[in-house]
Amino acid sequence: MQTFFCLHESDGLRTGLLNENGRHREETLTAREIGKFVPRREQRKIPQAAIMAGVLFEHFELNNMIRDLGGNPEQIPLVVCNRFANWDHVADAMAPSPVITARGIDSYVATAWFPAAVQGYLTIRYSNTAQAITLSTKSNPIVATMVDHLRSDALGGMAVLASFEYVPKRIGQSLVTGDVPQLYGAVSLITAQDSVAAIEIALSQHRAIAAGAIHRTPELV
Amino acid sequence: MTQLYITAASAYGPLGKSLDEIWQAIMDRKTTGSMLHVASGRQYLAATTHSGHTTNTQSYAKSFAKGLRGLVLDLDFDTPVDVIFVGTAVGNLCEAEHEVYVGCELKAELLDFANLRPMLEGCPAIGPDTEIVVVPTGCCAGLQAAGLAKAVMARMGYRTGIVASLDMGLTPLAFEAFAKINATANREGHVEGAPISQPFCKDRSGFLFADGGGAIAVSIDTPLSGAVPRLTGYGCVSSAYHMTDIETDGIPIAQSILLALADADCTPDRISHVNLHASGTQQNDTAEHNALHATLDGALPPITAFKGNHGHALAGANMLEIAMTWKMMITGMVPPTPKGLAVDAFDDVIARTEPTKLAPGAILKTASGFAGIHATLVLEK
Repeated sequence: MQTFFCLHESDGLRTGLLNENGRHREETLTAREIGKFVPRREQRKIPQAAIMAGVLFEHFELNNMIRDLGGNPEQIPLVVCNRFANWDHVADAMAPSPVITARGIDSYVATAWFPAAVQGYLTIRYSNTAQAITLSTKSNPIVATMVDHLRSDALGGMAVLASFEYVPKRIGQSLVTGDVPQLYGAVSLITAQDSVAAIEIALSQHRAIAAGAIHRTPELV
Repeated sequence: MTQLYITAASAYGPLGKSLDEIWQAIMDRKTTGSMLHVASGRQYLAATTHSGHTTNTQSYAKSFAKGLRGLVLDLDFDTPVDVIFVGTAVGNLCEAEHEVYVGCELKAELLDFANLRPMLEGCPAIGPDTEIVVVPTGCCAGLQAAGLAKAVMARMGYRTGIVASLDMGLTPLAFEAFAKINATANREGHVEGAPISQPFCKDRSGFLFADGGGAIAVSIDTPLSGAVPRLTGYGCVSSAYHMTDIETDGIPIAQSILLALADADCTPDRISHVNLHASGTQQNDTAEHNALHATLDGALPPITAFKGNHGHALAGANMLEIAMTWKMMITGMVPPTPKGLAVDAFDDVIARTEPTKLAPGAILKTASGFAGIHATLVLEK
């Protein structure tokens, strides 16, 4: 299994690989580099999480990796974990007045706000017609079992497991409080050799990255 | 082949607060829907469970929590189930959006689709060990939740569960977002007195935005008595076409039907009834019609399309329609089509003015939704 992550930083998106020893091959991508992977005209139509998903797939050439591992990028099951939808796309449009809010809603809200926006973005961009599902849960075993179920019929026994979250600090004039995930994304390429337990570990790693609990591998930085 | 027995069902929608109320309204060919004045100062056509929902968001804020709790309580469990699967498109948007409008701090829990346990506290069906998983994929989420249940329950040792879907999405934000993409029914061209939601009618102009949902009690164990409806097949594909548009050739829908039939080990000639997604958009109805002809042999079996009665409650519509389909299987009756609905878009899909007997065989249930998801269930008794 290989896991790739993406974190938001003030000067761009921090990307890298993740293994049992921690983060490595880290690199910060600037806005210009991000624009090569997800064109700027498209960025304004989609949520930040979808931009990160596109960056991860393009920067690490994940579809080539899927082919090398025996899978088919156009027929690979996809499971996305997302619990907080994509409020970033409407955060600035929203106001204490519903009247003002309605004026600010653009025609992309109906496609950008939903938790399944990343799922739709990835399947459409990469012509993937396999079964895809987005899950909101604290139960790693259910997610891992579903991944295992879906990959059983897939070429190479492969599946993509992804986690993406972003909650803006403020929606309208309301401050978002509590345990809020920062902007992060993680993608694991699950192969036939990976056990259900290993898939659960990957999910835990996704969440640990979001919490900043997994740090760089010093010797590789 | 894993199958799930459906031992009970509940529903909540604009035509009634319980499954029996809604069933009776549908058997009586009732429809609902009207122009709603929303807190944003705008007006939209909609069908709602909530008579007070017009100009303020306060009275609607707790609708999702109350609705979900009601659906679970109506299933009459007296002991906890192992797992609950909930499909939804917008989750607790009504409460979160209201908090923005009153200028309150927004607690992250309110935005968290997975945070359903507080809403269900005190329900006998929910114990400390009951797992909760939400499928937030839009208008196909209820069917995906059922497919998830079918895929994982036996493998994880879960014997009893609930599959629910609910959307209480009639908020200023959601109304405006759907209006912006011209997805919803509008006044233009609407014949006064005719039902607003018009699936499979030539004059259909978009879906009638509604709220509501449904739930089913599921078990992997064979019930002790009687023939119980079973979920025997599930198929799901991605269209990879568009976030909200559907290819009118219906090929992805047909693929989901074929996958569901294969999963159920069921041949097309055994399909005796189809309950369609039938959102009432031009694209959807054409796509579904083409998909049925591509997959079923000969003449189409009788079709039901309950969005013609009470509109489209996004993911909530999925389990609301499955609850009605369960009722068809229990009573052996197929409801007539809604009064005043022309059903004239295709020559081989015709209106029924009276209830008819449900023919023996298997039932297909289709749904299509956001992100290009197409799913089908096979139900048998």
